[in-house]
Amino acid sequence: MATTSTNPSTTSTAIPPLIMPLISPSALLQAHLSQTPPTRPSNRPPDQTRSVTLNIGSLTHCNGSSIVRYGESTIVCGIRAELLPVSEIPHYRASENARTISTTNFDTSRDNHGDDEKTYEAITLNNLLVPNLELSTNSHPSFPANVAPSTTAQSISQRVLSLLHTSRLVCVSDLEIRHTSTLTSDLDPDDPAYIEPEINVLKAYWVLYIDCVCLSYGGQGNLFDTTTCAVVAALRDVRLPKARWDEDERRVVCDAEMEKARRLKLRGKPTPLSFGVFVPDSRLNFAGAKVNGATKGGNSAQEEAVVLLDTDAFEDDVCEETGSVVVDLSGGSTRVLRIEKSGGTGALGVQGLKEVIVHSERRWKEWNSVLDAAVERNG
Amino acid sequence: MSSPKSKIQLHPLISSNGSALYTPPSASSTLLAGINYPLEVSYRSNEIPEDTYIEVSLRPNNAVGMVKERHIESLVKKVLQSVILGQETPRRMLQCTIQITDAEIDESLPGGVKGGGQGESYLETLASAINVAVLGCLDAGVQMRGIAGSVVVSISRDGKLKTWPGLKQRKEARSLHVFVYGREGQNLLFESEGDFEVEEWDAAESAARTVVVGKVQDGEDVVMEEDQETLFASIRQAVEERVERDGRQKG
Repeated sequence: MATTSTNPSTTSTAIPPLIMPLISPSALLQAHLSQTPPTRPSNRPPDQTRSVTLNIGSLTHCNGSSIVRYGESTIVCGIRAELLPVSEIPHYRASENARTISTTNFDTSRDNHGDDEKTYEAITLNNLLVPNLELSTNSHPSFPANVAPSTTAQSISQRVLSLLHTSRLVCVSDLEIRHTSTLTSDLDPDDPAYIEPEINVLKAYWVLYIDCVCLSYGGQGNLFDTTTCAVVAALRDVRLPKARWDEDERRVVCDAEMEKARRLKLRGKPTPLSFGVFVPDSRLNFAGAKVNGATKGGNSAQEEAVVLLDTDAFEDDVCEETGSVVVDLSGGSTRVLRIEKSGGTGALGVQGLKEVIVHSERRWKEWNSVLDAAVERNG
Repeated sequence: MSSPKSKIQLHPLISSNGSALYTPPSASSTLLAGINYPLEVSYRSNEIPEDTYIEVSLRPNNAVGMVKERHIESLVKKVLQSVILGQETPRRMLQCTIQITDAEIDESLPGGVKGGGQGESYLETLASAINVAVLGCLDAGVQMRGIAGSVVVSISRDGKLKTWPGLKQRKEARSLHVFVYGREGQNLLFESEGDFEVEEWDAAESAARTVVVGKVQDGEDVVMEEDQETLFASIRQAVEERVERDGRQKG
């Protein structure tokens, strides 16, 4: 220790670059962005996103699983399916579910709003999709051990749940276990009042418990992207065993053969993209701050705002105004499934957000080629 | 516009520093906010050296707050951070408690289920909670940059826009949107869910702006007219009534 204290470099007043983000994060980011061309501390231009690594089907005890690494965040997602017999649902209305139509010719395109539209409510009402995110203490130093889930974890769980429901990604017909029983009728078959004695009755639902564990935390925005991608990838991997209702045992019996298991038919391919809006501190007035994402009738602060796509943990802390968009291009045109933006002084207006949506189309193509490749690899 | 207005009542509670009662035009819920400010920060680790710590707690009408409420609270907190001059009271806390006192019950659900489950959309509650929190802060005399106003817009299957949709319209909508505007009409918050196109979202934004801020003329300037029934005008009227009432009590 004595040798380091006499070292001239430590006694000088120069600030090591490593602690610069701690002293004045805003000034550091602004200095980076006022270069030509504007470059972020991570050596990316403001509109460049990071690459993704994906592995699916790695967990053997789950019905479906995925591991996604996006930037600095890593999420492991495992989906377990459990049976929910309708006899255990309080206030269950049997009459509405006794229908005889088959759902074999199901169209997975987003524009299909047929019969499934009305029955989708079964998923929200019975909580058939249960996503949860766990931010473990070893993913980031700021998460203490043995405490209740943080607001960050709860918020992201809720946002993922909302997205699953409002994008109606999973179809009700995939989660239903039906049984065709023969009714004993007192009427004569020649009687005009005689109806078809076969009735298709709903006996149970599959409940999908979607558990995500964060191995590495890279900022809130990035974490939402990673979690959403992990959940979508794991849902693509889900295989539900062939299940049937056993009339004699009066319970659902599953087939052990995995060859007979079926995959879920997912509606569309939602892809998230998070962003931050950096507004330079008015106390630091650098010349030549890049004009980007300016809104109509904006003041000087709004004109200097820079939209940073796919923010990392450092940028996430500096940007007060953050948000994310979820888009789906699988139907040919750009459909927006979710828009979120909050905080800051409202520097990003409608026009700025539209530009983010345009960028998110590129992210959609990138992510879905990675996802399709992973699905193909896995068979 | 001939649509019903928001019902606002300021200072319904006696013991809190500021309070407000708010019913949105859809009349599907009533929210009560109590604001206490400035307070000591209860946990030293939450103290912010140059800003005010904001604590928001939201209580539903029929249950305890869960994951969904935590998310709404964090969004309300972000809007309050945008409008409040926190540096005026550093190391202090603003406590905002919102209670949903009345909510529309979905009769189509099976008996015993009153809705409000985790899967149900939180956007209507979010918009009302933001409005009632801002009104409560106004009543408590919190130093603010300006007010903020929020509105829900739904887009139905046939592309019709409706501001402040009722419960049935929300359920049948293809997409739901919440927009929050600041004093100068800046977009403080976007929150949209469902399935929609960028053009539809843009149209919903203009409709929301008309309801909250007022009609936009020449694409730039916001015209504030006395007879416009905007949310900002309603807030102004509520504050005027409150000042008048106070004057009468003193005199």
